[in-house]
Amino acid sequence: MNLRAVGKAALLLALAAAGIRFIYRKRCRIEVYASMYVYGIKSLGVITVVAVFTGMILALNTGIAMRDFHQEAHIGTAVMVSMLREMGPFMTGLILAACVGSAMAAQLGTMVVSEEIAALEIMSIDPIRFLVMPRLMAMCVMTPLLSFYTCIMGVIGGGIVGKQLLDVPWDIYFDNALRWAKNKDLFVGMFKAFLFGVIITTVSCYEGFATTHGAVGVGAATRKAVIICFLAILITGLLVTGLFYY
Amino acid sequence: MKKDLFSNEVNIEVVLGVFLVFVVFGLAYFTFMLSGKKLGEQKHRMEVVFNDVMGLRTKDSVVVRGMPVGEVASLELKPDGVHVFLELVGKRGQGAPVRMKKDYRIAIVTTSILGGRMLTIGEGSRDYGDLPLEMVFNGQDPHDLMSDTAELFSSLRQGLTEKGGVVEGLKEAAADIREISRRLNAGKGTLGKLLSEDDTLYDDLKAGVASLRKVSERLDEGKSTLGKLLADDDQVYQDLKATVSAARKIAERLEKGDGTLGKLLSEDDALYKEFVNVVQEAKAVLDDLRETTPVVTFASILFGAF
Repeated sequence: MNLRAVGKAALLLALAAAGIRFIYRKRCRIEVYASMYVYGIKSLGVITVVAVFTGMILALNTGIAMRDFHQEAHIGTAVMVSMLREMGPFMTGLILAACVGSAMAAQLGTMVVSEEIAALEIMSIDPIRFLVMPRLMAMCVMTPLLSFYTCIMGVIGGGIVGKQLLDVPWDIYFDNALRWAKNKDLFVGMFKAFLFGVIITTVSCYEGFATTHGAVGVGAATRKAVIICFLAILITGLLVTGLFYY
Repeated sequence: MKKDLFSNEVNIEVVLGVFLVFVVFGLAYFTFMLSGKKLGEQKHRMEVVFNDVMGLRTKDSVVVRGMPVGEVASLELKPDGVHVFLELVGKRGQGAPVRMKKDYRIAIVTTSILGGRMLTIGEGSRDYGDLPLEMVFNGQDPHDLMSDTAELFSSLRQGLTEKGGVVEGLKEAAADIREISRRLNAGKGTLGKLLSEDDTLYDDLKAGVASLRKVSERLDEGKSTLGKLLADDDQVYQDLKATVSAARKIAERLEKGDGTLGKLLSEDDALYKEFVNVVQEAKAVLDDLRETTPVVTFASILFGAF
């Protein structure tokens, strides 16, 4: 992805954002709802499993380390803060990049190679407004909410491990979890997730639109979209954390 | 077909709506919980000045008699010290959870070896009146667990290593033990002789024990006076008892003044006076005899010559 591609992707994002003003049209609204349903609700299963196990792993590792100092009661703090600040948005971003981003790139890539996009243009339908804007809108709404959902599931998973394996009562676990977490952690995490949603949509749609060479090109575009999304999520996560906490 | 599409669209909207409502409601609840505010609670502010806060941070607990009543809201470094602002949580309408008295104590303590801190408030004696929470309170200088431990170890090290310390005492004791061991090895002293290969002392001890055994056997057999005394046969005891009885009778008679000796010992001095008279008379007789002896002698010589 060279600088020209970065510029094109940014332009794609700007055009899609500009198309949000048509959200009140019924056709657009239906597309947005459908995208939110597909990208959000249908991802809940995998997100739930990943989030619960992430929380469990976090709690277990932290609890084992802290048990040496008889401080295992504080795993709630560790799980809550790490889930809110980093793990929640990060895990959500990775899952959506793998599930949704790849699907977006493959779908748009297939439409490109089968000249459906060209047909839309011939019918004077703006493909960005018709295809990218609903996806962008859906991802901008759903990614932060899914990130929050991931955090809650992770904290519950950590609580299960704390109760079952580390003998930390629920009330103490949640008391410590809520005691040290701040609203800043929650909203910075959600902001991060919002950025991840924007990145996933932009990169995936751009790679989909840039597909060439038929079915092979679709596969390459999908793979490339996922890799770039992963890297962009990691780098953006570091930058946002540095911006708000360093 | 059109109905199916409409139905599908409605389903999607319902599911999305339910999800969004739940998540947004959860988000709102979570935001409220993380803000630390609770319904029915009232917050009271309190200001304490410390010379040193030993790493106390915002959100550290404030504890009264072991019970958390609030947290550290903020800290400010000023020329007269570190001003710590506390946020105490009490039930609405019941006032502050602490009643500060004249002899209050506010200190920063370590919560664990990992270095957590908390602020403890001792309200003071109930004999005094309440102080207003709006005043600036003075905190005590904190005790750093690690520095206290380091100081303790330093003192221990000094006590162990300095002159006259434990180590030197142990060295001297070891030297003494070594000297005793050397003397024992050399067979010096009674214990050394006992432990030495020379068995003279052992033989003496053995002979002594044999003699003692013989004496013991003689005593067991009732031989000799002591043996008879220890024997089962109580003849000696009976004799002794009879003798003591006879002596008691004699003593009683003497006490009553019976017999010549009793009369002599009695408080009645008639016999004593009579005896004195006899002695005086005997003395007079002797004097007379002494005076007449030369005459008698001369006369006997004179008449003897004839």
